[in-house]
Amino acid sequence: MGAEVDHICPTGMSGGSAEGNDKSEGFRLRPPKCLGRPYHNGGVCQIIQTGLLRSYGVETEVVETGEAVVELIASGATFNLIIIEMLLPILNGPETVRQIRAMGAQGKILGITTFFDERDQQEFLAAGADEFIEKPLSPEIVIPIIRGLDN
Amino acid sequence: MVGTDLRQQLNNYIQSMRDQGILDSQFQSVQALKTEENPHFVLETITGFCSDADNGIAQMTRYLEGPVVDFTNLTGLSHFLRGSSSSIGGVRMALACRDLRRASEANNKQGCIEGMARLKHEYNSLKEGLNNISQIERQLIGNAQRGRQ
Repeated sequence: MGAEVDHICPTGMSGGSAEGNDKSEGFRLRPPKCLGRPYHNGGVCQIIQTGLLRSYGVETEVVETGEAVVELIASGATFNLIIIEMLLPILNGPETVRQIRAMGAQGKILGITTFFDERDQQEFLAAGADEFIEKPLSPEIVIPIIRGLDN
Repeated sequence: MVGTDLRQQLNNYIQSMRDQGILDSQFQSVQALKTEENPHFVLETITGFCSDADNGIAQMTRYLEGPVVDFTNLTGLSHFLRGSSSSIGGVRMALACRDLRRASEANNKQGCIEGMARLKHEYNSLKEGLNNISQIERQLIGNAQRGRQ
């Protein structure tokens, strides 16, 4: 897509405007859009993760399964950032990454997990993810990523 | 001014929880998500967390106390609770979940019993602190609303 990415100025800890909404983490090209996917129906973990991203002006879209991520990408949706959980019910995290990379998804892909494991990290990176982090998604992690999306 | 005192009280209280290692900086990241459009964010997050945790721990207790320990589900729930507690900044509880998960992955019943006891202990400390924070939050919200009238 040729759309230009808006420059993002993270609002920092004073709190930006959280654009309420629901549970998907997809970044759009303009403004940054993030696609994500919760584990165990997300719970408070997902609400905070999404809230954090949105507070930095990121349009987020949340889907429930790896298959839904694949479908969304297959339908032509594009995202600057895709956050994918390690443990997914059927199509697991790394496999989801593999499939969407194979379809040409070019955004940054961040694998996220509850308990860090080197093998999981290797699996994610080998599948085409750019980074792999242990929860929680904190401002320290999010801000550099969002800044990086501008480039 | 009452509002300032309350806010200071809240900050002091949160700092004391941080000093005890019960909360870490992640809690302030959650606080930062509270806005004028969404003044109840912190309260709702705390409520949601405690609901998740109460249910999760009750389930884990059942899995542990059954005739045959259900280690698989124990592991799954320790994932879930670790995710929730770390996202709200409940670092000691998150660590307890990690230890419990280690024990359940090793099918270590005694380890799970000890881990579960510690998890409950950490959760109770965290919950008490979060409830106190909620009380102050409610007052702050109430004052803000009255101030607007």
